[in-house]
Amino acid sequence: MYIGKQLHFGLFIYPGGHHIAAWRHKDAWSEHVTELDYFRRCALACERGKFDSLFVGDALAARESRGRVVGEVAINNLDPVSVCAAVVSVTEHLGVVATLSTSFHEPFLIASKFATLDHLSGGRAGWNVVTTSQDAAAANFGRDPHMEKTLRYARAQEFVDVTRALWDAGEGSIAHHGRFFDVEGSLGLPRPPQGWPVLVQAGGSPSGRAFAASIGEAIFTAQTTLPEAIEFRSSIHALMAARGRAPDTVKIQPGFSPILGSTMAEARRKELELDELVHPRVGTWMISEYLRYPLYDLSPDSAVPAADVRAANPDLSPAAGAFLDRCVREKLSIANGGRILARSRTHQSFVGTPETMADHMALWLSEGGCDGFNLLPAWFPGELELFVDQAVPVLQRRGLYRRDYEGHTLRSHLGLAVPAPR
Amino acid sequence: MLDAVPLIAALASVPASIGLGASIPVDYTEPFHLARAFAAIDRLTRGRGAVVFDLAAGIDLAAAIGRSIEAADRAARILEFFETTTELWDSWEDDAILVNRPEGLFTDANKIHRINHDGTYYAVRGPLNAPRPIQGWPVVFVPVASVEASAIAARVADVALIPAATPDIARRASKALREHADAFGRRGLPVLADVVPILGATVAKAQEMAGMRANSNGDTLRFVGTPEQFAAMLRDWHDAGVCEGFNLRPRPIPEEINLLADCVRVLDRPRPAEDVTLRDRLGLSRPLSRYAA
Repeated sequence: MYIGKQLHFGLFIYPGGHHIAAWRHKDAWSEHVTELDYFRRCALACERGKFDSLFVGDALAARESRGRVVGEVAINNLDPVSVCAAVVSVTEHLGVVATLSTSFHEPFLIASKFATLDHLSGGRAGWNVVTTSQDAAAANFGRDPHMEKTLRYARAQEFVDVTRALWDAGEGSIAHHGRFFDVEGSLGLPRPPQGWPVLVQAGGSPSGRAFAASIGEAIFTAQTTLPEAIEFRSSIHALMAARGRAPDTVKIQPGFSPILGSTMAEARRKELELDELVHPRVGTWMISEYLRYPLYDLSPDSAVPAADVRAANPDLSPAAGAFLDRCVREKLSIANGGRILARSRTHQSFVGTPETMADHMALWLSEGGCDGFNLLPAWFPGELELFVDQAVPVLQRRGLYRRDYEGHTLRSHLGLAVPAPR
Repeated sequence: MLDAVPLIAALASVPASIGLGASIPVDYTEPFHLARAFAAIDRLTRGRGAVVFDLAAGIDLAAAIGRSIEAADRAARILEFFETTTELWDSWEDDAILVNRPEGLFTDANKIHRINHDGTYYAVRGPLNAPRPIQGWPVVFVPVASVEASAIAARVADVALIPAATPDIARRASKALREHADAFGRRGLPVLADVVPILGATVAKAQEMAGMRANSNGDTLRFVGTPEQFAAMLRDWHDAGVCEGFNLRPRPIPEEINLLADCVRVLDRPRPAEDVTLRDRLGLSRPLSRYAA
């Protein structure tokens, strides 16, 4: 089957892996998650697999449960910009995407960081623009609670406008006086090789979608079924059209967590092994955190109390709301709900052979559910290297995936143009 | 201006035992951001990270950040900034990471502490979301270009950097600084003198290079000569007890940096062992976590 377009892949790196218990896997590089070699080995696998980018997520608070760090899960990623800078120095083609929140930074310093990263890498930088809603993060930056959602996104939009103006001005100055920021000055650097680093967005709420349609050039999202993915992608395209943006100026990449085997039975066995490594306390913690509702005092075998959760959280995120619906629909216990989150949080997890995975990806691509996937391997480096060495050749043979890089910048990998200065 | 943090992170992959320091405008960042970035740098470089407290960036950056700094209580704020940052570096004890697969414990939650800092200028709950730096705290350099900076350096610097045009000025400045540090129980604060080397294979060549160069800040020592002469001057200053070493500020041109490497050969310093931390190289002790039992 020839579809006429090809998949894009980004790697979402994470300490240990994306399965919450992955770090307990005997071959996972858990002892090395803060070392350069961990990032180097994963980055070299990405480059062998001709991926667009390596993506580093962020959190601005330790993972806690009732005031204590959760000892049963791996630690957060190291500082994303530092990791990305280290990665570009050991690779030639691979793009890097660093997550940085507009809620606890200043536009001038962030514009300078990404301009530096883009210059250092010869045009391989991306910025995943996030707003931060965690109270735990706000507590690390003063006494104010986190901002209300529409305000957060209004700040994010102005933040991005200021950074783009600074990049466009190059060695010239800007003078911006807005609702949230007053910025007068110059980065004192030539315009970055990509014009702007590739702007990545990941919000699924109405405010998040509007923001993505406004600034997003790549969108990391979390739909788990094809109809939902088609709906999301077409809604983004429609919102973009209303802003005068062409649909091919964005690449939409749902999260995808593969567990691959040479046979279906082998893949299933691997999944089961990982599930058995989930510490009982971790499942309850994950579901409590995700639904923002403490379930610690209930029996793990009892049903998820959906009505109570909704009553306590009227503004649950769309992804969390969809997960709650699923708990009701499938009559999931707290333990079983926790196990689903343990696999890949709410991203799609896929268990199968490279061939069945290629069929699945071809269908999503041809039906308009995605432009590619943000890959969340169950554990590192094994499941990543298996994907690169076993699944990528199958996708290449079927014409679904490129055989080599055609350019040197992240924009060229993604098929995005360098934006004209405003 | 390039951002120094990604620059030194990119150098983490260069196989060398050299320390890597990044200058940070501490007036405009948050303790959590600085602590987190340098926890990463120190891990990625295996204990070679250093923070340079840039206290002079204020005026240039005020308009760009859209916030001017309060001069009156600045020193107090910077001291609290340092306090909060080191609390965050201490918030994970050195042995907090277990990676105990059979029991399913990645970290020991009893060894990771909220800092609950609630001060005059900063409120930070913590803990940091990164393990303790290899060096405990990355090395803190403070350039001393003002009386205020001198007061801050005396309290927080692992190493002070001083501008001084002559040995006498350098000796007086470092003596004053050390006495000030001693008063806070911080004995033997190492002092490095800033020096701008303009080198040539011959004196004439060096003078030619110097002629091409605009005059630098008159407070800082500017040396024009051959690598051998420069090495002799460095040795004289050091032997006379003027300073513990030098903060070399060459022009970013490869020929001159190669000539600097020649000076090091002339000085015949022992090569550092592999995998030595910057603290070890500087003879600085490694701070214990204030939260360790």
